[in-house]
Amino acid sequence: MRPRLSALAIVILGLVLAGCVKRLDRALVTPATMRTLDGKSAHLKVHMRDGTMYLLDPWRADEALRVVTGTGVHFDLARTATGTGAFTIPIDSVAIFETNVVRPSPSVAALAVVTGITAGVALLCAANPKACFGSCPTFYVTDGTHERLQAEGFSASVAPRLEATDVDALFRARAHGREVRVRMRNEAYETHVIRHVDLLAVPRPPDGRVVADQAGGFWEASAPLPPTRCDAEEGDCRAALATFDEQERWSLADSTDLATRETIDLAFPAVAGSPALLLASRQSLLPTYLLYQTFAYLGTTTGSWLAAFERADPTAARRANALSGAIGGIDVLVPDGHGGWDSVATIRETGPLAADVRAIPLPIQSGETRVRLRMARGAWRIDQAALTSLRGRVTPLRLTPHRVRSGPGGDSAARTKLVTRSAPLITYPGDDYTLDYRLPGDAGRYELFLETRGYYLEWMRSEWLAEEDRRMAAGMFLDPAGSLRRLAPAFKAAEASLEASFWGSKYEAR
Amino acid sequence: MRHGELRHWSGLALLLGTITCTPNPAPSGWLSPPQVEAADPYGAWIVVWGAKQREIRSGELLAVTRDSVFLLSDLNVPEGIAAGDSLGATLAFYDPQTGSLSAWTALGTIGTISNGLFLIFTGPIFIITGSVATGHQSSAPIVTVGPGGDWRALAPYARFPGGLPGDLPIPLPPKFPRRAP
Repeated sequence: MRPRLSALAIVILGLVLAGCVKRLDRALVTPATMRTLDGKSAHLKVHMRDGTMYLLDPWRADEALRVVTGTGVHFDLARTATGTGAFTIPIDSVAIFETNVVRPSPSVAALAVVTGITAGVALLCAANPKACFGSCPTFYVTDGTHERLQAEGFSASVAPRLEATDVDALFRARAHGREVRVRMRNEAYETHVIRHVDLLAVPRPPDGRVVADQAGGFWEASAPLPPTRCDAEEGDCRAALATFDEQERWSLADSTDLATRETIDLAFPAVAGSPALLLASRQSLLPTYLLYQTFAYLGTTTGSWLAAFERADPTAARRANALSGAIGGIDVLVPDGHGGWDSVATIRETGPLAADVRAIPLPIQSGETRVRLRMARGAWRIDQAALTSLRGRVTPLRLTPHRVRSGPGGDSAARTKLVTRSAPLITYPGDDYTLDYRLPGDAGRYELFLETRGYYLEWMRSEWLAEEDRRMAAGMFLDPAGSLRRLAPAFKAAEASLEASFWGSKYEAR
Repeated sequence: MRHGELRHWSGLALLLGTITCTPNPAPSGWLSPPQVEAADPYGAWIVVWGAKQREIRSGELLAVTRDSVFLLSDLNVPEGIAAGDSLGATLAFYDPQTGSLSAWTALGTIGTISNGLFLIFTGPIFIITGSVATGHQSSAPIVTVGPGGDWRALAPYARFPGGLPGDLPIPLPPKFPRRAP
């Protein structure tokens, strides 16, 4: 009992100490926009045109009378106090207003969670630990009516060594005017380390789209054509794959071997020019389940393992990805002319949250264009499969956010980090940023993509630690095929409720 | 986790919490915690640097224009520095108090014991999260503009964010009297 009580005392003392840790958010407001002054700022600094300054607490801004009133101190240019009391300041003499809001440091929230303060969502995680919500930064953009989850950044970058650049098509974004607003959120128990979030824009052809291929190239393309045939194990799948409409084609995993493959055979009418398959797809929760199961088996040694991974040579590092390799991506195959199939590409875009759209160039076929998709059963959800014709490469315009907000005022520090890339922007559960981009013309004329770079760290859930098993952990890396057979029954038992548990356990800021 | 291991991990936590911190360029004691700095009438501490981040000038930031910064020199006179494409600047505008977070990281790691309720205090995990948290807090008051960047991002942290007044008294008293050499 004594060690537990002393540990508890240490934790409580730590919480008290860290409760003193604050952060200061500063914002400048022009007199013309004084209605946006942040009322949470205890002090208002009124910088006058002559260089003197009033420090007011309390304060009040009256837009109708065009004055600011308050009690405080007047400072001269040398910042010597020259008067105290009540002041009424006409805004015509004001150069700029400055607010300073003192907030609890998000770093405290981070440590507080690790210290054992769990949110109510822990109930859902406890019921289905491998379905605890997790991802990477999520990005919301309007579809013209509602703000919609349209992209998730660098989903596979679960360690610093795996830091990567990710390009996601904002295929259903429908912003109005020249401004494009992107909302970036940290909705899981994760730390996100973000280098940049750039908007890429390409003028959209009047009779087609602009698409991205897997090599990072951008192409002007003809309007997508739905398949004339779509044959899967369940039968005709044309309805599900005809349009990008969140009506997805998906399947259940094999009950004895999670690596078991399935195929979908597609046929399209012939197109002129250079044909390409356009696929809108996302992973199911199977890869997420396997990742979290790996962390669970590693248990209390996860930190040591992550550190070792950072130092590992390339061969050892590749072994760490053996399990995801065994699950694989979506193989795209075309007829080889001899009754068989040739592979032309494998789609490996990771992430279970937002479908991404990719173009895969195909060889020209005589007559109709036939394509076979091959993937692990239950591992992928496909929203659209279409045929397009690539007309030529295009170069996108790159835009950085002209404004970043993390509350009512601007967050110039966050913007500086994302624009100058001098330091990463680190976000914690509940952090919510609004990034504004300005296009040269109306947003409706552009195809938009989001380029992000960074990595993220999953936080260990307490429910996982109970499964620590180093032998099973080793199996995930050294015998991925065997692990996928061993885990099949457990996954099948949880499969039906995974989606509901996952989406219901998002971190909600209070 | 044995007691000897706990001391090892707690020491490592304190060390990592320190080395993951972003260095604060201001002289010791020049900046105050956020609650105090919110009401401070002076500007932030700025360091203008050149190639290989070698310091060129440092002092209180007085004002910023599109292509220049003005800081208070050692002689208590405003000194303008043309931004140029090869210069950068880093400023700090409050004391982040990372000592508390580093201490918490170390304390939390000490609290790691291997039974029941406190399994979540896994030493390595606490170190990773605590070090990242401390690093995050230490960089919160730091603003950097690299070579070729827009120096107007520094304006909110200047003594005169609306621009340098035309009739500044010379010499201009500093925030703290400078010590005699």
